[in-house]
Amino acid sequence: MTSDRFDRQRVLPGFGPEGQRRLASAKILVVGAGGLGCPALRYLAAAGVGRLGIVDGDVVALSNLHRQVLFGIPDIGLPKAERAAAALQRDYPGDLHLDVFTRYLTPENALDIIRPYDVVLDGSDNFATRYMVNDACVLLGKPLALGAIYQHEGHVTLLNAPDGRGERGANYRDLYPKPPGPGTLPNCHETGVLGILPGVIGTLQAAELIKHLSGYGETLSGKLLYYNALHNRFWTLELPETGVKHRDIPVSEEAFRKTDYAIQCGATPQINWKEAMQLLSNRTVTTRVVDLRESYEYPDDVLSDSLRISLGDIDREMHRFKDAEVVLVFCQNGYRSGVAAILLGRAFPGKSIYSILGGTAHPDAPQLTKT
Amino acid sequence: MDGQQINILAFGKVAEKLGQEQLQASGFDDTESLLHWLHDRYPALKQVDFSLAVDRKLVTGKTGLGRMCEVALLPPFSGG
Repeated sequence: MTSDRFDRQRVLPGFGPEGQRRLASAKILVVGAGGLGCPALRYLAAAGVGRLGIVDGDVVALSNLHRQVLFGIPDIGLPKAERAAAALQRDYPGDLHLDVFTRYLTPENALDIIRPYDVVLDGSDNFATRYMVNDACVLLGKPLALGAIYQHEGHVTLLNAPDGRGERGANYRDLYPKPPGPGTLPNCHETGVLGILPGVIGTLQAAELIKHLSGYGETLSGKLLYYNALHNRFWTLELPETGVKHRDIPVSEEAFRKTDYAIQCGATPQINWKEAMQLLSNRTVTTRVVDLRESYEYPDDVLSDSLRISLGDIDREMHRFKDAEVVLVFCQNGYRSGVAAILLGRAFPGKSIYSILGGTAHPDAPQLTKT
Repeated sequence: MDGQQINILAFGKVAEKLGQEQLQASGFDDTESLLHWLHDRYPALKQVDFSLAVDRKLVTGKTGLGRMCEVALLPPFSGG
């Protein structure tokens, strides 16, 4: 018998040559080549999965490298999907086919991109993509390995997987029927993470797909596994037995393409400083500018005519926006202004409300006038 | 009357709002009254959406709480 890089897997009782053959003929789409996607891709490729699709519209940044372990210094500024594929192609030439999508998944392209694959791995980093991928997988009947993290915690499961009778297992909307409100969105203080946490969760996602595809062992279908890296705790939750029909999942592919996941998931329209300044110079529309920075952040600098309101006071100050047609919100880096814009958007559905991208820390921010 | 001993487990952003990952409560017959008490005692919790599990099973709506049960407060995670 010839030996190859899968020998140690093939001799495993219960996995065997049949498990290896199943992996070789499998097609997996990985959404997001980030902290979860990188370790997952590494193990899926190493295990001998025949075809891997990688979707990511982002480029590699220096601050990614502590957790996005397929990339190094020479990759900075280059497309993640391309660089991840290049690393895997270099290490496993011959038996691995790679499809590279250097763009983000959208309601318009998601179904066509996902359709040719057997299973999907969600390594995204936002609710809009997570709900979109879940709904697409339900519509197309694809099992989905979901992983997500928050600070020092993460969870992982296998969704929408068929059981012995062909019934589909739970999907993400069984756990969270609707996208969360703005209070659950990340803020300035929540952006840190130890690189090993997405490493653990992404590797568990890969393990779920390897087990599902090869028939080896038990999957997490119908269960959600939590991992707490700080206190070394694993905890498992039982999900409802079958996927309930959710009225929030689009009923058809056509309805899916028309669903605005970004708005449903609280993403707000953002504009850059240049566009914001153009809007401000247009005197024919009534525009209000809100500076959300606290007095201890640059107390002397204000953009002329802006209202200074803390994020916590927005609810009480809604009356100040009644006569405005356009509201522009900024803070130090764009996180708080995103949350404020969601709150304003809910209070005034008819107004144009924008969060200014990057806030005052952005290089394009105007020279703020001294008062 | 000693009531139920309820072990509350908090995850992610809920734990952050409560300032702890675990706490005990007693005297609540169902999830609705327990949630009411939690929201009263920790107003910041109102800003967070979360699902509920009783004894490691996901529940929706008003659910009865037995003696010595475990209630988990599970906010969604989006990071990756």
